[in-house]
Amino acid sequence: MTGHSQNILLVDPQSSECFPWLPGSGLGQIQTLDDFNAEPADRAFAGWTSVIIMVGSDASGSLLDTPVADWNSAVTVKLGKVLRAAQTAAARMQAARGRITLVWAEDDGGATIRHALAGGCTGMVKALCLDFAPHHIGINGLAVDLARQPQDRDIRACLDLLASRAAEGVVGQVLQPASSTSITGWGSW
Amino acid sequence: MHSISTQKPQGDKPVVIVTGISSGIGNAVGHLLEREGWRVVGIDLRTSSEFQTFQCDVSDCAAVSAVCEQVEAEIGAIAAVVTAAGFWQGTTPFQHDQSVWEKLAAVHLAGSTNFAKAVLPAMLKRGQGNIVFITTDLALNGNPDDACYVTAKGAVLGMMRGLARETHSRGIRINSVAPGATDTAILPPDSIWRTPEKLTSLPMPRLIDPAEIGAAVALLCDPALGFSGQILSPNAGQAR
Repeated sequence: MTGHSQNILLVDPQSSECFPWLPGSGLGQIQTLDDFNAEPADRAFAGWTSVIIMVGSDASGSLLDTPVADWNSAVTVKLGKVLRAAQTAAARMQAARGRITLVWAEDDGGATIRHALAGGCTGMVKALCLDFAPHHIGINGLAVDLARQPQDRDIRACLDLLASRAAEGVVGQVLQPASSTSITGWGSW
Repeated sequence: MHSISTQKPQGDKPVVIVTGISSGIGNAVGHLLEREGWRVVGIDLRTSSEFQTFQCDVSDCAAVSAVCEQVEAEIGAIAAVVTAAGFWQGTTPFQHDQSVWEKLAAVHLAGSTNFAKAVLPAMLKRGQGNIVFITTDLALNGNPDDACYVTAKGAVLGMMRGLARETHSRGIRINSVAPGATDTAILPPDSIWRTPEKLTSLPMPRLIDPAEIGAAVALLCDPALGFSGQILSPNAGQAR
C-alpha cells in the first residue's frame, strides 16, 4: 500500500458497477463528482492530485440485438464524456503532477457496449499517456474482468498503486486484476 | 500473393463490399481482392472510376442498410465486407473538442458497426461471412495529439472482438487489420511520419505500402482459414 495520502476525486460513482465499496474504502481522501459532463465539474478538477473516472456501461445489449443507432450513440456519448473528463482533469492538474485512472469492466459477452467502451478506453489511455507524461501527469487504466470475479483487495491494490504519485513512472498501463492471458482478456494490450 | 480458396462456380465470384474505395487503403484493398477473384463493390462518398461504386455516407445507418439490401438484390449475396472508409484529425491534448470526437466516432465506429449490423443477419442465415475492419496500430500503441482518433479505433477493436466471440460458432469470421503508418494521402507531405528521423526509428525504416494492407485483408478474407477475433498489424515491425 502507498500510504493513502492522495486526494482523490471519484468521477461518476453511480456507474461503479464493479465495486460500490470504493467511496468508503479509505483509499485516500475521496470526494465524488456525479455529473462529469457539467461545466462546474471542469472547475471541480482543479486542486486534485488524483482523479478516478468510472466508465460504467449503462446498457448491456449486443450490437446484434440493439438498434444500431442507439448502440452507436451509447458508446459515442460515454467515450466522449470520459475523454472530456480526462482531458479537462489533466488541464487542471498540470501543476499538481496528478494521476488519472480510468476504470472499466470487461466480460465474456458478445458485441456489447461494454466491449466497445473497453477498447476505446484502452486506446484512450495509450494515446493520452503520451500527451500527459511530459507534463508529469500519469494516466492508466484498470480493467475489471467481471467473468473472473477479481477480489476487492486485488482491485483496491491496483487502484492504490495507480492513483498514487508513488507510481509516477507507471503511465499508459492497463492493469487487469486476476487475469492471465486468455480469450476473455485483452492479453497483449 | 495469397489466393482465395472459395469453391465457386466459374463466373460466380463472391461479392465483397469495400468502403472508402476511391482512395488510399480502400482502393488498394479493392485492387488486391479483385485480382484474387472477388467481385468488388465499392462504397464511398465519391464515385470510383475503377470499381462499381455506390455513393453512401457510412455514418448513416439507414443509408448503409439500404445500400447493402440493394447490393444483395442487384449483384448477389455479400460474402465479405471490408470497412476502410475513414479520415484523420488530430486532438488537442488538454482541451476536449466534442465536435472532433463526434465526427471521428461517426465515421470510424458507426461506419464499422452500421455495416456489421446491415450484413450480419443474412450472413448468419447463410452460415458464412467475413468482415474485416481496418483500424490502426495506434489503437494498440498510442500516439500523441491523437486521442480522439485512437479512441474511436480502439472502440472498433473492442466491438470486433466481442462480435467475433458472439458469431464465430455460426460460421462468421470477424477480424481487424491495424496498419502502422501507411503511405497514403492521410499522411500529408509534412507529416512527422515521413521524416527520416521518424522512419529510422522503425525496425523497418519505411512506411507501409497500401498493397501490404490489401494482402493482409486478403489473407483474413480467405474462408478456408480459421482466423476470427484477430488483429493483424502490418506496422514495419513496431513491437508492443
